[in-house]
Amino acid sequence: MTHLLTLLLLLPVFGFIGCLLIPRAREQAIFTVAITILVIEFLVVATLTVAWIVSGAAPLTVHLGTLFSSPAYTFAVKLLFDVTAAVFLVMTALMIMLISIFSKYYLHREQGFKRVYVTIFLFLTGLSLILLAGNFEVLFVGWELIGISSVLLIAFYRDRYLPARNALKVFSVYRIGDAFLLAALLYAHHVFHASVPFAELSSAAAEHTGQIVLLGVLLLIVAMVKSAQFPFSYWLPRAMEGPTTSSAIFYGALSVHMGLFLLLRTYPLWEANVVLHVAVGLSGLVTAIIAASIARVQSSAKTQIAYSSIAQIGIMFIELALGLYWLVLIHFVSNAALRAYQLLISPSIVGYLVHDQFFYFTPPIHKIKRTLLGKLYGSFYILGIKEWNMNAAMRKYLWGPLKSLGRRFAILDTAAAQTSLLIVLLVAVGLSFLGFLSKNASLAIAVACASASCLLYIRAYSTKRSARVAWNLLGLGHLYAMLFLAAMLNGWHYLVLYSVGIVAAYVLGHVCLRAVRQQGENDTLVDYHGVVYTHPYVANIMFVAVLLFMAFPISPSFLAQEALLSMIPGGYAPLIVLFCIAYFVMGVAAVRLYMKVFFGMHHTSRHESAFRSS
Amino acid sequence: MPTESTTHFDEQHLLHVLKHYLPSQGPLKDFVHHNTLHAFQDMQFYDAIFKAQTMFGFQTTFSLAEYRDLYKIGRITSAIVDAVVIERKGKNHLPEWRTKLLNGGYDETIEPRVGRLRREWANHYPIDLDNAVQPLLFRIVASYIDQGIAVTPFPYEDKGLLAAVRLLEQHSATSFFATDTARKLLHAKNTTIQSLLERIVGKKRTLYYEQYIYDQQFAHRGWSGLVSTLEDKPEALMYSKKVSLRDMIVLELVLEIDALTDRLGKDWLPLGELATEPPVDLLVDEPFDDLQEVLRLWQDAFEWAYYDTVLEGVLETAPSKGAEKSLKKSPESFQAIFCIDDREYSLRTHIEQIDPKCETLGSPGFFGVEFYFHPAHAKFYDKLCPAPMTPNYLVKEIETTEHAPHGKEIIYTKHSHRLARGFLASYLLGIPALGKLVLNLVNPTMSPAIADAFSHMNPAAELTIVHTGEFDKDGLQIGFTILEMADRVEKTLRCIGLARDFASIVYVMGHGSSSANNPHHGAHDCGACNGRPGLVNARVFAAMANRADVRAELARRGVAIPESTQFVGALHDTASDEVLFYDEHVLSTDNAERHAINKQSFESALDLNAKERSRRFKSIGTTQDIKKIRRDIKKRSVSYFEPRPELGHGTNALCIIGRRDLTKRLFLDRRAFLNSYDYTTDPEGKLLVSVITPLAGVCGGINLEYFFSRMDNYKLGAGTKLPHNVMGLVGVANSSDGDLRSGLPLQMVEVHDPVRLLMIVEHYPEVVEKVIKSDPSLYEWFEKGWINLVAYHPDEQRHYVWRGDSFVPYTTLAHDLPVVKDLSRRFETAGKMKTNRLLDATQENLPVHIIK
Repeated sequence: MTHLLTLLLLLPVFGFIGCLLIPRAREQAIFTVAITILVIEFLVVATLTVAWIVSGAAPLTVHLGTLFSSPAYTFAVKLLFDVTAAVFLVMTALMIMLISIFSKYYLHREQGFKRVYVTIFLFLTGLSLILLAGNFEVLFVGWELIGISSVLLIAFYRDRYLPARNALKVFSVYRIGDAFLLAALLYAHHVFHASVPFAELSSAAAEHTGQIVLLGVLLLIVAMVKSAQFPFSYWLPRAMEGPTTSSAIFYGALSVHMGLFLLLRTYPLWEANVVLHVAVGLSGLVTAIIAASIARVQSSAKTQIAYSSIAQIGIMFIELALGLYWLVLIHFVSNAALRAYQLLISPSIVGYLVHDQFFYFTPPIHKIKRTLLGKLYGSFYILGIKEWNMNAAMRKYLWGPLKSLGRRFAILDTAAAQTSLLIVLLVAVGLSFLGFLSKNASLAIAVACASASCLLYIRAYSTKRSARVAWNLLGLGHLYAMLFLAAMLNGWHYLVLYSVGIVAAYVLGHVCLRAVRQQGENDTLVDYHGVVYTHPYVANIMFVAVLLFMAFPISPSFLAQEALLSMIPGGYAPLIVLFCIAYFVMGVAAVRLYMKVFFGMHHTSRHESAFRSS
Repeated sequence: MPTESTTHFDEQHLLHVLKHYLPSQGPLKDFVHHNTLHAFQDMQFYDAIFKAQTMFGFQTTFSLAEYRDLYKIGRITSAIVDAVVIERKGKNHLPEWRTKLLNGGYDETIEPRVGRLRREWANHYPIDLDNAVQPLLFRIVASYIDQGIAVTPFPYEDKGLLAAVRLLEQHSATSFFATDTARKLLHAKNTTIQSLLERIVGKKRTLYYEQYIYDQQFAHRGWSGLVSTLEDKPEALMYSKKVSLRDMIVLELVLEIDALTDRLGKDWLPLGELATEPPVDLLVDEPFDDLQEVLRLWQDAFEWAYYDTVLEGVLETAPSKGAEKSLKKSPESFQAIFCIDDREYSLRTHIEQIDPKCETLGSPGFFGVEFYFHPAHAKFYDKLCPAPMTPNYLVKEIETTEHAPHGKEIIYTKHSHRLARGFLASYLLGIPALGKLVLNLVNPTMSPAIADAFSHMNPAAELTIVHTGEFDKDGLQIGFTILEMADRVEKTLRCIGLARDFASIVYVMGHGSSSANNPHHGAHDCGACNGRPGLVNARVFAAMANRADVRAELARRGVAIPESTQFVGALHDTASDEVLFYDEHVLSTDNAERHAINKQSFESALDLNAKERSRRFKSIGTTQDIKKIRRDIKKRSVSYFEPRPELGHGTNALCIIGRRDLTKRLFLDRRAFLNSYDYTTDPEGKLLVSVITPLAGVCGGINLEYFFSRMDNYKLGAGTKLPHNVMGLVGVANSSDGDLRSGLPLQMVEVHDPVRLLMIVEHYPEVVEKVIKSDPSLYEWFEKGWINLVAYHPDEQRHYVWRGDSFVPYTTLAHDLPVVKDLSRRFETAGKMKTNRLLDATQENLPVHIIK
């Protein structure tokens, strides 16, 4: 069974590489590779599940290997297969297989036929990692993967403005969750003094009842983001920008239930904690009521389905809080199938409802009574239309302040400021090398560096100057982040590993940006420029550069970063918080830069392009 | 230039201009094709398309590179380029313009005039006004118009948009607006467009007012266009809603003030004070530049490269004057009147090949009988005639069942979107949904969620065709009197030249289309029946023509239908390639026997038709067993995963008015509308007027909608349909925040070659000229070049082309057209399309062939 589990992780990777290698005009070949892999995937999942049930259905843990280990920290690849994993995996394999067959016809002759299948496999890789994860580290890698593949799916129609903007919007919200997950991971490590596999959470939790609440809250926020619970719900309808089929699998069926999965997976951790039960249940209850009130008044088919699904996931949160484990699983399976199918056949709703109306229409009553109840009705109606101001609130209280903070440091855009910062950095490095700095000074430096790096990222997020400037700001931010780690820790070899990925990304990014700039393309960050239209290959390379720069799990920097972070002593919690913020802003800034330059409408040549509003 | 103080802002003028230029597409349920650039139709074609381009940034031609590619692969021949350049520029300028066409370098960037003022907001304030306002505006308008997606409808929808928003605000503790400023403006009695513009653009900046509103409204032409259309045609909605464009503009302006005040505080300068550019006149005309002249010549060359082969084909295959007489004789097996629709062209060719003794004719698919139809149990009427007509008649389906035979699709239940019932639904419906998904993938079948062309009428139910003195509450006459029937039957038959030589059975074949997951399914039904299947009209016409009293009247008027002749109504489903015949029980014993044989012929013809269509469909192998193709075609029409159940009018290019012999031996690859017409029975052209007039509107409308949706599928078409999200049952948009997408989706136009319609009329040029000039609105189509016109001189047997003011003899350049013996073989060997920037691969449109 261990082999089957490993196979499950490898199959999507094979599919990804296979589809990537086939020229895009060869639809049939792409589909054949994809469907072969997906059928095998389904058969493996089915076999595995049956074999596992036959052998007694005890949770199965596998230690695949260790990516690295040090006295303080071990990055082990551990897998866990239990009832939750089995149910989610069966559903995932089934839905992806069915809808991929559907997509073969639905996407026939679509420009992005190949991109859909490539992205499906990227997504599936992430999902498999999450569903089979035996510890936080593996889960985190999967979490990041589905975040980035969401960007590709949402911005599938990358030559239009709205998909590009909404992809960025969804990614930014996802990133909040990712940052909290990172915080949870580090905090768990700090609490348990080791990386505790999920299978042992229950016993570990019993020993640290005091710290469990914070850990649980962190995880709940991660789950709320990913499952579009209030106040994050607004991302789900906006994720439905791609072809109907991809919206159906990912945002109807699978991706949106991942938050729920996280809660199920970490259930042993907070099983005994009443506060957390109440928190999960309340979050579900609030979401269920609010999302249902939004769904009631939606006049667009897909948005309505999105909010109905969110409301049901809210109810699943309540069921889980009540400890109704099996009910949650059944609810998930049924809701995923129903919403995916509702989305798939949503275009048919015109013919069906118009025909229905033709025979059965009776004009509804449209007066509101002048009573308190009437007032409540009117209030809910308006709030429902406005999606309870979630989007506006997020802009007002998070993105707005972040941008206006960044705007105050406009001076950082200048070459002079950047050079000075670099010199300061080198001096600090030199001084510490020469041993001029005491232990206390080194802590002060660490704090200063962490703040500086955070600020540089924030400036990169808000600058409108140019992609080149933002890229430099991010690079400088990375240097300060490294210096921060260097000042805190004694882990030079990790720092080298860290810098390898970052430097490579930095150079690659500048090469790409220079290439498009030399062709006369615009790289200011005021609007979207859609350079992918003229430079699709550069866009792909730049995407890889962005991933590396974000210390994405394909980059050596990722491992180094994880290792270094885990070495930070527990007493420096504020620094860790600062680092999580930096991590969050960094990702959003890098993806923003990429989207603005490469996605959206292309202006400079004469060809058809969509209106901004469409 | 008028100074600011003297200019007066005229709201009515502004609204009038807006309404003129906004798209006029109605709700999706009645998809009526029309010229997408109808606002420019009073201009010459090329002036119009280039003006639309400079105003709105539409891409209204191919790019130079695309034309040059077509030239390289031989689709546009060198001879045609020369002919077109000489025609327009004169022989002396040929070398100069030829060089410009082939090698000239031009900057093809389009800088539309609309949107320039609005863009300035972003230059002065950190605010994106479109993003801040449009999503909420669309939501409010969509919820207000919504026909039945939301569980809770918008309150007070009978009061008008603005009044409803006001009332709702009064009855709520929350608000659509973030600021009191906006709320006060909303409720203030003296709020007008002008007073709001004074705030946003500035009191003294009246010169910018119109430009500001144009920028604002054309930035979301989908929703504004729908509101404007519904304001003029409220009856287009079943669930009636009172909307006006003015309300929408006021609402948008208030929302804008709200957003500006919320983000910038109370002190922001009006845009007019900040604007650096002088006001732009959106409507001003500009002369052609060289690039536009070159594009015009290329487009002409592209069109004539095709037209020329068609005209040559007619010359080569039309029977010579002497041979005509011997050809004309009473058909022995049957006659079949089809709709003029281009999709029926192939079926007609195949049925003629299978039964050479039959005769096919073409007439607009409502067959001259215009009425409202009231299906049993229905709450509304369906209008079944061309969109511009307003019938005075009602035909009712007489109830045979207690309830409407309408199935329910449980997956669509609105209960699933509520909290508690949704809870039950999400438990109970998941597994059935999964089962349905698997079933539809493995074996697609018809279901209530799929638009079914045959379901519009119960074949077993009687219809109230005869008037018995009854009227409905709106004063519509129920049924037709005998004289009214005779008028319609006579006119329809005479127009298609079928006033004698009747066969024993005459089929009247309406058409419709079934498709799944297709919000645009109405666009696939019969254009002459207001975007509905033509089955009721076919059945009504047949019933009228079968009546002895009607025939007696007809005989008095000189149309003698033999007693043995019987008419049979039928419906052809152009997506599933099925035919259903109606009222077969009225056939005499002899005719019933003949009908049984004919049905076999139709079956075989449908097989071949399916095979011809299958060459465009990758999922169906054209070489496989023909019965399997038929089954696959049928499945296609009921598959949720199939975005192309059929290709609609894609490739339409011709409208031929004349006898069938003119094109009977031509293979035109389903590109021609065919209207039967016999000039010998109408030497003065009296009937020709009533034949041509609806054709210009219907075929011209279809052709130009495909033309522009293909040229600019992003702005003038609806883009790819795969991400479409249904809004309020009235339209589709991308995403939850997008504007409505009017026009045709990519999947409908992908095989279309954007050429204007060429109308070929078989008659003397002087008669045709007299006829088209008899009606100014008809003449406009030809005078301004929106439809190209050729008269085929029946005596001289040569073509005369209309050059805007007169007919000029035309000499074809093509010769020796390819000959095809076995059509089926030809379909199997058709190659891949060489130029199609829309898609990676599709099959080539086949050139004109002569059928041996």
